[in-house]
Amino acid sequence: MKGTYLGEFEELVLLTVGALYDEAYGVAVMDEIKNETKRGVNISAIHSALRRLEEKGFVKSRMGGATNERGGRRKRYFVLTSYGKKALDDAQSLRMKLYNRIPNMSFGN
Amino acid sequence: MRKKDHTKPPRWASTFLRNYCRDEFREEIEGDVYELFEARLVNLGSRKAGLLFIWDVIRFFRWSNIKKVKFLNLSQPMVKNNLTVALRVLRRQRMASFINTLSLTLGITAVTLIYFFINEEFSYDQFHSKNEQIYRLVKDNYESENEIRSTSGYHPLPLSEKLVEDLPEVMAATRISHNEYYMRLDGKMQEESIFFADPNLLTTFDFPMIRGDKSSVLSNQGSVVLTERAANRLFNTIDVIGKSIEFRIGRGGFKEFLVTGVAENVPSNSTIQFDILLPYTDAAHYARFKDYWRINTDETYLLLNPAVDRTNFDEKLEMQWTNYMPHKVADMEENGFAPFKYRLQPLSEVHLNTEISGLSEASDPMYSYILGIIGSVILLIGCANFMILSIGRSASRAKEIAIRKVVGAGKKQLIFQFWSEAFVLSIISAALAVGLVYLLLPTFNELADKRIEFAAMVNLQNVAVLTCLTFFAGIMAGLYPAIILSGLKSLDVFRRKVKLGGANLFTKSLVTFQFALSIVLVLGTLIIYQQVDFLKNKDLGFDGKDVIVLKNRLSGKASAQKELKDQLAANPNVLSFAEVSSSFTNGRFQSSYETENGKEIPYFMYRISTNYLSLLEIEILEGRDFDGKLATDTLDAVVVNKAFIRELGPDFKLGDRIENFDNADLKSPRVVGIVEDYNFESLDIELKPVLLSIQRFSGFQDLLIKTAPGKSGEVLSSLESSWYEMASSIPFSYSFLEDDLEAQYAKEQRWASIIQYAAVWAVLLAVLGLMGLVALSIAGRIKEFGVRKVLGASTWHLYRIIVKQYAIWLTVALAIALPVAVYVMKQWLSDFAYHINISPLLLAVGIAILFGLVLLVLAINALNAGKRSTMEALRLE
Repeated sequence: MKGTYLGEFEELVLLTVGALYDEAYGVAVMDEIKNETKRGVNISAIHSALRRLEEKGFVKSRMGGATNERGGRRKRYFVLTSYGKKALDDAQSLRMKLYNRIPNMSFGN
Repeated sequence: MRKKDHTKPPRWASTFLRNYCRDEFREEIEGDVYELFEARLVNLGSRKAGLLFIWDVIRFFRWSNIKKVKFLNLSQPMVKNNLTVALRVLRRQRMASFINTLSLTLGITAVTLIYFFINEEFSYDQFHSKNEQIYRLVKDNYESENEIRSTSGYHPLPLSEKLVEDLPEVMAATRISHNEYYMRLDGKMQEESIFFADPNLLTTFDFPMIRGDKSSVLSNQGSVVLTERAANRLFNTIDVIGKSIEFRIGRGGFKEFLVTGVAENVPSNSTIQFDILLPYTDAAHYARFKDYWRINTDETYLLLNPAVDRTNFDEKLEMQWTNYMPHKVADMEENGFAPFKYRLQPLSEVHLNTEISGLSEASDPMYSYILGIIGSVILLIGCANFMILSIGRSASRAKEIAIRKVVGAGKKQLIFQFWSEAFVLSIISAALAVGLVYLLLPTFNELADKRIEFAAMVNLQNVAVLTCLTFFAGIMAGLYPAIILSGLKSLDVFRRKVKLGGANLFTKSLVTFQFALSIVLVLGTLIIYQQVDFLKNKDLGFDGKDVIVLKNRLSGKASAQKELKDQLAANPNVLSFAEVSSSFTNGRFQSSYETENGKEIPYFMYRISTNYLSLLEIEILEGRDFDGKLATDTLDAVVVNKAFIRELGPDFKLGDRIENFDNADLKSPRVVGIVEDYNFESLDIELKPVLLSIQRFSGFQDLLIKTAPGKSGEVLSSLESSWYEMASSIPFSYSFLEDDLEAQYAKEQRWASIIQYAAVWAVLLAVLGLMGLVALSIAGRIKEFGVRKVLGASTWHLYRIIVKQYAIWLTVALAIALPVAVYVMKQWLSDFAYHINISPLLLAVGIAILFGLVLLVLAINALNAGKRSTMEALRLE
């Protein structure tokens, strides 16, 4: 079952890629995560996660066009695959299923 | 200098990133970090942005991003071909291969043996599981407030119990002591070395028991624990529990002891060495001194609670003695400083610390270092030979290399090829070295005074070390050839532009280096030998010629003693005889005396009979010899040496009493004579004060017998026969005083032999290398020599040409080696209180020997060159 498991951080990155739709590349993903979660993440961690997600088939990537920014270096853009979307859906539904089973009065303070 | 551009990230970091990053990821990673940098430059300033950039670069440095280095494009056939070529080369060039293999084998053998030695030296006492908690209690004796005079490991007997009682941090204290005593078993007597220890020796230290329970075997007086070795030696079995052995300890008669346990043999790397172990309470001096605070005898080891705060404890321990020794406290108050302080010495440091006097002989770590250096040097010389020969031969292989290059071999493959040749050779050498180590180990053990067994050395660690060593040798030996030869330009080779061979600077400096080392070792050997010779032949202040030292084992048998003496007196070949508590090297009585003003004088004391001084022809400077007829002389008169008088100070005169002196029944004795300082101790120690007394004494260990020159054999044979008539069960044993004295320098002698072996080893290797090199360089000049011969040059002329080529380098080697050798040897000599001065003549002799050897090697080569047919030489090509 290699590749089907989605780690917590990976899920976060995958969600961000989905949310950014066509603008998801390393720095953008990092900034987004920083903004949304107030969590400090190093760019190298984002790269690793993205690469792993691609290997698992959750995202696919393409190189963008050259611009004047970043010393003329191209960006690698990531987009969610349908398989990746399905993985997110599965994770979501699993979470909802469990969430719904929490009885309303069971808070132990 | 280039100006720093603050709008750009740090150069080194970006270069680093570019170099490690895999090509397929480089653009996106670089792009992202640059983008971040640019954004931060605006928000945070250049400094912070730069630092964060570096941080990002470092964070990206992870396995998945790093370029996978394609070091070698190795295919199996290629490796195989390399090995084939390597073996072929080895076979084709027999002489060179022989020299190479021999060099590396000798190198690896030397390093392995030396590694064994060092490994054992530094593993002393590490096998105890509580090793970290065990300490030897030592005391620093102070000369003044801040100046330590000496450090000793001896303490009063009651101390250990008090420390355990008063200091909760001390979990246990173990006193140890040993001595030689008689053992009687099945009616036969023999002398044995007996070890005494508190029962907790076996629980504090790890000396596993084979029979008996370690917590109880020594609890009762009269019990004895044997090691497996001792049990087998005495009873031929290890099932010996309950058997009885008799020991005669101290003055009394024989007493029965029952075997309560058998311990495993003590490892050779243990400071505490016992074969026969008795409870401490059975020691001869125990009953007399168990509550006596004024005598320092045995060593004490402490087991500390692992949770102890050492700083606090050490502070507390330092002056702990003030609670027990009021007389010393009084001294302290008078002098204004503490006469001594206690301190802990970790068990693992005991073996290699020679500063502290104790029961077992410590060994100087310096010797380990010296040996280590010598070993590495020999290995390097071996590797250097390989380099020299490979480079020398390279001319003939240049074509092969060029062809390989043309066919498409890259530099890396060529490097690999040369290295694999070196590795093949070093692996063969390692295998040979293992065999050689096996053969040489007994000799080495004898030289180094070790008990290393080959079988015990075959373990994972040592195999790993040998493998590393082999690799190291291979890498070192192949280093230069691999890099130089692989860098040849094919075109140059084909155009015959390359001039490799014996003449290049690198090989010459290697030869110079080898000879410099050889010179140092040869000179070292000669100087050590001369020093040992000096030690043996120095005028010691007494005459030990024709003196027999007889073990006086008849004490207790008064009639036999008297008969023996009567016989000696009647024997015309016996010039004189005298009794002594112990002859020069057979033990000593060492103590220290405290003067009225608190000065401590360490001294040696010998009990003698009246004609001792005259027998040994010790010169009396002032006063007189002892007179046996004077009652006062046998009561409290002493003769001391000049050193004692010096210590007592200028006010002390002949005839004065040594006030407050109280030791071994002598109270404030009167000095009746002063003798010249004679060297009763080994010459590496400065002369110490000596005190001689003729008081009635029953414990004379030795009888000195001076015979007429050349008559010692006759005296001994007549003595021996009458001895066995008187006491058939007591062994008759004797030695010659001259031999005993020589034996004192066994250690120096041993080192002389070790260094000598090393020197021979190194010279052999250097000469081998030189031989190969000269042969090669002549081979390269065959044509030139042929032409010279045609024009009328003699062999002598050729010889001169060859010598000239090497003379400069040998001179350089000499210029480097001479100061080094002189400096190092001066350091060594300064350890001896009495030593030679390095004589230029000796140095000259050493150098002459070595140079003679070199000239000989060159001569052989020149002869060979001269003999070669001129025709053949010229036809070459």
